[in-house]
Amino acid sequence: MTEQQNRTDIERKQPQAFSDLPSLYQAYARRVFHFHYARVQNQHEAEDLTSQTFTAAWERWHTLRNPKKAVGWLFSIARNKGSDHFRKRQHIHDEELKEELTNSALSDNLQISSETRDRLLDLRLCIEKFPKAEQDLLRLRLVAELPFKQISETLRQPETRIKKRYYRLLERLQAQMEQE
Amino acid sequence: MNTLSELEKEIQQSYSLPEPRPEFLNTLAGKITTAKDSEPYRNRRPRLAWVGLTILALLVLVIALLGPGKVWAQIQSWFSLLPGVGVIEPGAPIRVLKEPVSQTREGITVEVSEAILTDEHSFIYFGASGIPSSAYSGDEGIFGCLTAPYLETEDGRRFQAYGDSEFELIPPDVNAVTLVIPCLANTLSGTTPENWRLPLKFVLSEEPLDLTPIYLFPTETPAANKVSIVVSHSLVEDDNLILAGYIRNLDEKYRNLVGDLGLFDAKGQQVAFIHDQSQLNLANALSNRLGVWTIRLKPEGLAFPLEIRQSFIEVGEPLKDESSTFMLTLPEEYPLNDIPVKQTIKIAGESMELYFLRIQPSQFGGYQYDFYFKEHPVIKDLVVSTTGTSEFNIAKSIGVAYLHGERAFQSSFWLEEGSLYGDIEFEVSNPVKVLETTTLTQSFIPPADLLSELESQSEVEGACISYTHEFDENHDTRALPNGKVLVYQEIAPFEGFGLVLHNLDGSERQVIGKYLHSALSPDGLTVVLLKPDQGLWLLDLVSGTESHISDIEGNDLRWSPDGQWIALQTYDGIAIVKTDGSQTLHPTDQGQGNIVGWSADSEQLYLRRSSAAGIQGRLYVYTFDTNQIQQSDLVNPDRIIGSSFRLSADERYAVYAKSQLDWVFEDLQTEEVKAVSDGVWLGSPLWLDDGWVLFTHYESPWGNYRQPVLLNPKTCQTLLLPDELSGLVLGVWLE
Repeated sequence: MTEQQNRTDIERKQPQAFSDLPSLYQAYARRVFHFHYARVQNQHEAEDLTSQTFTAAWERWHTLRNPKKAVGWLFSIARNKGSDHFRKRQHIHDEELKEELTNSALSDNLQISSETRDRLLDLRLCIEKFPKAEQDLLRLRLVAELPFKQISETLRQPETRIKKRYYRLLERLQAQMEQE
Repeated sequence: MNTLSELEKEIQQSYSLPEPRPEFLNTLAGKITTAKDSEPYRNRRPRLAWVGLTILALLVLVIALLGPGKVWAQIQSWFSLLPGVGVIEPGAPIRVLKEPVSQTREGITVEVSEAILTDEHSFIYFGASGIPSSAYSGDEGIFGCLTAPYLETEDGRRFQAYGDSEFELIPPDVNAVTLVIPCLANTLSGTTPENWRLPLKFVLSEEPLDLTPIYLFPTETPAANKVSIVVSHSLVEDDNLILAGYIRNLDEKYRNLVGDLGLFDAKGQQVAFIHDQSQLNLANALSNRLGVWTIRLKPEGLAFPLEIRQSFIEVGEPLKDESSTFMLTLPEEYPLNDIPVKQTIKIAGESMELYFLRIQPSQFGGYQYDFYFKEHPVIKDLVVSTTGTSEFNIAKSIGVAYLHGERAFQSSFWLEEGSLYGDIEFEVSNPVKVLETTTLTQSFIPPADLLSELESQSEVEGACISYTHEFDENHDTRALPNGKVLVYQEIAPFEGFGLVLHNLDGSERQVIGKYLHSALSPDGLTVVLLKPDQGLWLLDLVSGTESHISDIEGNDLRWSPDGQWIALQTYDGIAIVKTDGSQTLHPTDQGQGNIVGWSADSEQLYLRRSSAAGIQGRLYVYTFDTNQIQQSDLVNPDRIIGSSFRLSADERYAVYAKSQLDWVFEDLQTEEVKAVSDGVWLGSPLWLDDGWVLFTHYESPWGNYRQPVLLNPKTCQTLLLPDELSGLVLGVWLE
């Protein structure tokens, strides 16, 4: 993975400063919903978590001191809400997960071939076997479409470390898919 | 153009995300947009009295519902640790230098490399290079320039320096100052240019600085004079939980710690931990406290709450009526080594053992006599004196130390002139006895969001060796290859330290002599060693003959893989000496720095070259063919490397210390970094040809050497060398 390839569309979406929560909501509600949906695979639960995320953001808005970091801050709340949710749901076994994924929107998607659908299902199962922190990284990057800078703010880790972790993760995923 | 890779696109597709329902988004939007109070904190000007009353009412309610004990765990907050600065508030504006500034006059360069300005601290890092040694007096009694630098604004305001790099707080509205250096530190008047003026500009930091989130626990209202353990700070590092705190109301009488801090889980099981001396920023944050502690532990699988225990002893006043005498015969000429004594002394109804005596020149002109007693369960302190000494030249150690295999405490006196020899009578007096032992305990439960942070790190790949399970119990020496190791260690009990050549399996041992700086040739047949004031010598290990090759002196000797050259660090930079003594090279323009490693073909020597400020080093390479030094392309040119950075001979891998306690291994081609050690005191790595690394192993930075560790960073195979080899490893050769 070269440095040139890092410069995706995601990176070109420049971080914005948000001086109020409604503006942040308008810009990011959909992405927060997707971030949660990608993990819970359930419309109702994703809505519930999105609602919890923004309610918490509203309650804590006064603690945000740097409006430029509002997006990273919002997704750190979203991440915590997601973790809390899964702690409550306890551990989901692989079989149950497979069932959930099989019943998910992916399985209902008739616009893709069954071969592609199977590959995407395998890919999801591979991803779900990764540690939760790595899954969060993928969802922040590819679902929430955050630039690395904002992911580093969300995960409170240096940007360079995040980049390395991300590209190493893709390599591992690629290798595992080739083994499948 | 979308430049996501195919795999990334597939991952996106695999999530098969539905659009959120418009009615849901609208309803939630309604809630958000009707919220009146959504301005950022710094713009808020609420009615403070009402806010205060509301908070007070909430607190009362919370305390009533939870009970005071639990409130402690309910109110906490995240802050950030900024390297070199300490704890700062989240989102606090940080200003940095707009750009580095340097000035060169008469061959001397002053460079301002970095500035960090927060609401509470102003740090400006600068340094000078190119100062000739003649600018310093060379006599410790004669001081050079002591005038402190300061910062000056255009309108004449001044900000004084607090130390080497910290200045009086620079207000947020001051973004341009001039650093004024009246004269370069410690240089003699007239030897270097004076009145340096470097204009500096500060800007808000745009890039996220390398901040570590840290949890600050509010402290309970202290009960009057109640001594207690306080947990004040916590942070997560990989899969480790770092806890820091102090002992509140630590009185003089409680300052005698008994044993180590203890940590137990909810099942009463002892929890493994180490004292984490690498947390320098935490140490800064707690610098005004007494009884400060910082520990590192693995929280995974632990049953909370944890119980932290620390025992103290209350001691009595010195017993002035108790005394005893003993005789020692002191030689006319004092040995350099400690003198074993092993004499029993009866005092205050107890038997003490005087273990050894250390005699060394005193800074006051005469000699200092250090008497080391074995640790005693009841008597914790006493005074040793003899005719002619007074209470003003008595010194005592604080606590006990592990010396010559025993825990011992020290009591000393010094003579302002002269020395003692022959049969001397000494008096021991003023014994201090233990009155009572107190054990403090504190329960600790990580709050929910700290647990969440821990959970996100729980899958981090562990290091090859860690403080919780350093090595396998089965140390099978048959797994060791044949070879030799050159070690600096205690030659024999009370005989001092020197160089010893061991077989790798510990089967044979050859004492080389009382030298330190040395290296073993690549063929294992010759040792190069530095003899103080005599330069470099080669010792043929087969014939035992010695030959002088150079008058040059230095340390960190590194033999080239082809055996033709020896690189070493001298006072004037790095020198490269031909092993037949025919040639000495001084690579030009190397500046300050250290040796990083030889290339396998011996054609290049890698070195770390630091900036004028002496803080930030970068990787350079010296090429013999061209006699040139240039920045190496093995790593990113902007990358800062530390002095511990050591390159493998194939120039592909490096090991370096992330902190004093943690080493990492890096594949320089892929930039993949792997943890080698976690919480283990390692140092002085030596790369072997086959990808293994031999580390010196310490009990603690001030403690004894332990068995050297031979480790393959790629596979994490680890071999602990035999106990006989414990020492500073200076060379290794494998068959």
